Amino acid sequence: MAADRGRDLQFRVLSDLSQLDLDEGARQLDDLGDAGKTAGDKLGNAFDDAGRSVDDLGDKTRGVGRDIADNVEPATRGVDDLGDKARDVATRVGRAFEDISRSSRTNVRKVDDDLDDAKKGLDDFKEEAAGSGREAAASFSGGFDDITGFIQETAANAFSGFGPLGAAAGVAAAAGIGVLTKLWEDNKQKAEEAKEEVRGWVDAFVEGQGRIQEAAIQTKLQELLGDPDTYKQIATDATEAGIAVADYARAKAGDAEQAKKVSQRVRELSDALDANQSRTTESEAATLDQANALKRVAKELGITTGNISTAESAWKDLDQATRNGIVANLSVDVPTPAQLDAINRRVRSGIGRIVIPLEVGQNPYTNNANNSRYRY
Amino acid sequence: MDYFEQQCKQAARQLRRLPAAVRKDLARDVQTEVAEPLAAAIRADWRGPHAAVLAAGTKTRVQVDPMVVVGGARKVLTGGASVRDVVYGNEFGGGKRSAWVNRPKNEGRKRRGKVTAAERARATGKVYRRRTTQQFPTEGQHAIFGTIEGTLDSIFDRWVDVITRHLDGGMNSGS
Repeated sequence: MAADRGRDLQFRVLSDLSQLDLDEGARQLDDLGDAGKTAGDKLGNAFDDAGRSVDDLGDKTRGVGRDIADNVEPATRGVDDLGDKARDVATRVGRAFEDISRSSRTNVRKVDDDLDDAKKGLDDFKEEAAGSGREAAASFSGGFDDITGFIQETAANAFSGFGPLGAAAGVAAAAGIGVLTKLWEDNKQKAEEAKEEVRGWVDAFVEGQGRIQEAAIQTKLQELLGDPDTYKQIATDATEAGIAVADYARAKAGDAEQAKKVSQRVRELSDALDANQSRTTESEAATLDQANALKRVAKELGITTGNISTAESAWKDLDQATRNGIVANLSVDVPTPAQLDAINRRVRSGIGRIVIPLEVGQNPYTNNANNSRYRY
Repeated sequence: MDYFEQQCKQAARQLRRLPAAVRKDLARDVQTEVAEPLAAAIRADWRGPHAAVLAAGTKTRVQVDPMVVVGGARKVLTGGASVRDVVYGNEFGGGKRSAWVNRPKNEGRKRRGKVTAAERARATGKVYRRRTTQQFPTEGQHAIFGTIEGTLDSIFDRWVDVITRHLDGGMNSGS
């Protein structure tokens, strides 16, 4: 957005997103998928570089087939070193193009002769790039697994008809959009899950008349520990953090007392870790694991506590609203006997000159509208 | 959220590197299907005396990254102000910031009785402090930012749909 008052106010949805105050659910995206982030960054940067290198040189291409084929091949070997390989490809392709560019500047006439070679080379590159792109997209498990299926199917060869730049840019764009889509979908899913959880807690508060009862905790415990994935996560986090699994599970299941105790324990362990960190340099890895586990436990407890707190507030409002509703029902205005008498008198006196009020807002007793044709 | 924003920027950057033919088609569709509905929502959200001119000045651009522009240099108000002159005040509010303003000597209303510091300053040709943007409410309407925040979900979904369609199209028409 242009902040200058001398300019129009502009907003680009993607580029200027940081200027929006997005909701808290969206902010949780910070913590999403480290693996996806690493993979996404690697792929994005690699193709970024590739795109830039190719972009700079435009159509001044000559005899690149050999170099490109040599360079693209290594990029298809593994998933882990995908980023490095792709960057390597980009660098070497860039160098090849630079040579061509330099050559073409010094000897422009030769370029035409070499165009056929270049075309062949580009065809090779196109095929290889598409191949490597396919592999890259297909093996990009961090970012592409759960998103709409278009990336794996189309990204690699979507732009192959537009030459190497098109292929690289197509894959890069698709990679970026893939990561983006996954993040967005995850965020929506998380928000939905949070809503569901809050709803569950509200039900628990309603059933327990403002308190979460043991039965509700037991049900939640069964739900948490009955699911193998969730159980595994809870057990791993608790064990690595140095907390009893049962305590942590009960805290997550809504036991407020247990949540307090676990929070206290997490604080103690964190403090101890901070105090020991400088002395135990050799056990850094273990310390790091424990610190990360403690962070995860604290975060999970924070989310659970936050959801319970939201549900409690909702229940209080609900309770209040229900009470108000009952009061309102009891205080429905009923005509008193005196009022009923008055109504009866008016009706009786009105018989014989009944007027159908046609004009909005007019009182039938003081109707001055010209409704004579309706009089009887 | 930083990571998501960063990814959004990166995606926008990468899309700018697409082949020109694809980018143009994509940008046109993004404008029609994503930016225009957003602009329509913003137009409907303007309130107050400048609502009509602001709605008329809410436009879109042919960009792959959905873009909304509110402004224009044409004089549209009786005082000669353009949309550009009133959009910031309406969107963000006039604020409470006061500033020192220059006034020529002896200009302005004269009165008897107690003379205020501002009047004394005005009479002596010095600067005086006043509110700068009293023509706008203190709080802005946030018609642009509020609408985008509120509809980001659907904007993003529509945008991904358009991109998906073009990637599919690119595959079918390419090579």
